Amino acid sequence: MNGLRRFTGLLKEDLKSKMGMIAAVWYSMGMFCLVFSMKTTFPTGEVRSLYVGPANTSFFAAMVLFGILMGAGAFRFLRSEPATDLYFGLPFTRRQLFVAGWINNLFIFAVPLILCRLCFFRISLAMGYSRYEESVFSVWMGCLVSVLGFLFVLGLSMTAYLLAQNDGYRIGLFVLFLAGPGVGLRLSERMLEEISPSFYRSELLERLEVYLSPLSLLSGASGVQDYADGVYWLLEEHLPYIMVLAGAVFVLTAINLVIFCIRPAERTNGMFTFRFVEWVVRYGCLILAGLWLASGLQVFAVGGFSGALCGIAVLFGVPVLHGLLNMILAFDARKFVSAKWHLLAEIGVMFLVLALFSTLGGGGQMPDREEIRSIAVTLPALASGGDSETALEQMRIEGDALPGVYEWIEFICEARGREKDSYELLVKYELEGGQSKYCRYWLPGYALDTFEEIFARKEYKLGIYAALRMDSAKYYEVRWTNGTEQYTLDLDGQERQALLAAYQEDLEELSFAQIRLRTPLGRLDFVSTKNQGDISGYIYPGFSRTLRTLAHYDIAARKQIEDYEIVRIVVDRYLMKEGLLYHVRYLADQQTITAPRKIGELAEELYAEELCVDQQLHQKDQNTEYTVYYRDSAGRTVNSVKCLKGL
Amino acid sequence: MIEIRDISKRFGKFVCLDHVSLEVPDGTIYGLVGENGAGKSTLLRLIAGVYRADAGEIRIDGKRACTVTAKREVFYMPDRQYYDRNATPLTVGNFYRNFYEGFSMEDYRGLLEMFGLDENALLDSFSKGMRKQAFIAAAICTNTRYLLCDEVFDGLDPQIRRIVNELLLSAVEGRKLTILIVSHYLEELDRICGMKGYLHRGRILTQEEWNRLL
Repeated sequence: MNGLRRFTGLLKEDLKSKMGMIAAVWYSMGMFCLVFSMKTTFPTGEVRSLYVGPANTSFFAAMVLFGILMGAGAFRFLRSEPATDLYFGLPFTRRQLFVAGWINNLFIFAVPLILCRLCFFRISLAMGYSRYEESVFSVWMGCLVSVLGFLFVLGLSMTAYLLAQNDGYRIGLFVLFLAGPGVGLRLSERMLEEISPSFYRSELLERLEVYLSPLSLLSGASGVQDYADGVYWLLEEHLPYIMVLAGAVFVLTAINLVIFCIRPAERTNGMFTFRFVEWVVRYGCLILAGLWLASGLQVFAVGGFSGALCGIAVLFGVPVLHGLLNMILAFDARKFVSAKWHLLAEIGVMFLVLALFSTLGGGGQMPDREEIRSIAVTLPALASGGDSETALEQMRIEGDALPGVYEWIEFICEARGREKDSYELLVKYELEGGQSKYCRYWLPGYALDTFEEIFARKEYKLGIYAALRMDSAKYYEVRWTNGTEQYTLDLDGQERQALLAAYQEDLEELSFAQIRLRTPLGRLDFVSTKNQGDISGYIYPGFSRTLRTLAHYDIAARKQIEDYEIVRIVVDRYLMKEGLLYHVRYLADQQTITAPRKIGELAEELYAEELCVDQQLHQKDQNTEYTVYYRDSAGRTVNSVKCLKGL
Repeated sequence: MIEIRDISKRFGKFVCLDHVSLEVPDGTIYGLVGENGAGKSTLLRLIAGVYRADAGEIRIDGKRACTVTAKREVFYMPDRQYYDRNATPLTVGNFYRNFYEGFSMEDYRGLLEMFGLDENALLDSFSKGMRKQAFIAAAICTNTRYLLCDEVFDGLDPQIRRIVNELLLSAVEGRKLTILIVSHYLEELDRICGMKGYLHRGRILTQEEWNRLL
């Protein structure tokens, strides 16, 4: 009998022991196909070709679930001594036993999955949801990503199974593998935020989080987090994740093979197969909990980061954590006070970790002028400028404009720290080496006027106002609102282009002072008809060209609250109760105003809530809400609009 | 020949085997005796490649015990046998046939018949002794050159013990089978073993040391 025949026999016997799992996988895949073939209604806006691509959430869930279950059941014989005696006593090396289990698991999942995906594709073609040429690539990539993802989860589950000696600890270890890296990196970010007042975000930490956190990596590879469409699933967007995933599968499989080969067949002392695993778990959990505690206690810090609170966290928190870990690792409450040398080592490690963070976060507030290639600045309080992250990516202040902006930021840095009346300022430095550094500063209220210097720059406006980056309004539908009414403008291509040009010219002349002193009269929404994303822009009272163009199209763009036939105004007054860790807002008083004279006086000071977008810069009374009821053109009917009053 | 040189094995702080050396010549039945916890079963598991030794070396016909070439010539019969819940003597035979080229299904069926075991009955429905008989039959029919038996007489009635003894002796005489038996049944071992070893607290004792201990 040759080795191959014996190995085939091993595969056969191993398959026999996994009949339950085989049935579960085929049943699930069969049900997916059945449900999909009967699916006749789709939620509004759902992309039908999504089903055939790698981003299909059902396959994603199946990949994770079966990965976990099959990893935990791959070497069930290790659970009982007689079964271990039988399998390890057979004429096979441990490597052969591992390979047989791994190959069987791969085939048990991959064969039904690929058939099911092909079946989905066939149904999708027959129903006209997708076209063969457009989707065939993403169908095969879906198979590849699902199989790789399955092997990755299988590997993690196997590692947890092989390293722990009882089911509770296996689950705990698996959860630690799954969530530990993500939690650790988020805590690191939080700690750096506490230590360094200018820390805003780190691209390195974010990238590490995406690649080291198993679920993020799987989401990135499949595109499931952004519902990547089957047709438009682009390999170049997901390739880095797929490569890392493939590498991780290889490394995990190699690690599991080594563990399986060297793992003692007998039950050892403790909850883990190897002593060092207990240490890794102990110190890993301790660092995570210690960082959480040290950063959490900073809520009591007065005037920035407090090293003393970190010291308290270590000296008082670590012994408690140590006791809890002792109990958990030994599953014995009496072990709370034990392993005293470990306690000393843990305190030392925690101090070292905190020292490392304070070194990393204690650098200068801004990079040297010579290192910087370009700068992007955003003031999140300027909400009418849209999303700050997008603005930071779009903006590039460089060349001659750079020194002025750099000096202005230096001036802000001198103000140091966060005062009560200050505004968050986000800055992205693009360095000569190609890397980016993100910083957060606080612009003091008294220096807010100086922001005009930045706001007036063309690069700044190009970065924050998406409407300025629009070349053409050809594939957009234009909507207008004044916060009370909303209409779609019946304009042809030329008219839309003319309106866009007028709006862009007005936007270029917009000043920061105008934003701080005036409330917009309305808003233009450019709604894409080609799935390019919608763009909005506010119309300020000084936008004469835009208002003129709108008036030319018979749109009452200057119409404000007082111009409506108001029948009553309901005034809700709220009170705020604030404590250290809470704030509660409750209705204190309600009043209905019906007297025409009073209504007239009040209406002049009211603005539609929808247009009060930059409230931090141009403050309104937040504690009083006004509901204005006005007569509309339909007859004896009224409409209402929520309003705020200027301070 | 099974050669065991300076084998040590500990479980945590407990030293189970302490530099044990032993030789089992071909074509003999070697009986290993010792009190509970002496390390007898551990030694068998080490020879079978189930456990890894902390120190020392085990060779079977000059090959390391954990290699496939060595394991192909060894059949290990533990004290407690593992079988699937739906297993029958027939499925057990089919299982071993996959892995041992010399396994004779015909001889196996013959032995089952001799023991009076229904080949299609569930092993779960058998008594402890009947299950043991089925596995002894399988062990003999694998036709390996070495047989490691842990408490092979446990649960067998005197008549079956006699039959098993005869079977083992005939296998040794007929095909030069080498058997290493671990057991508490001293009389049975006296009856069939050509050589005996005494394990005590992880060490092999001489006959004199053993007698003194008794």
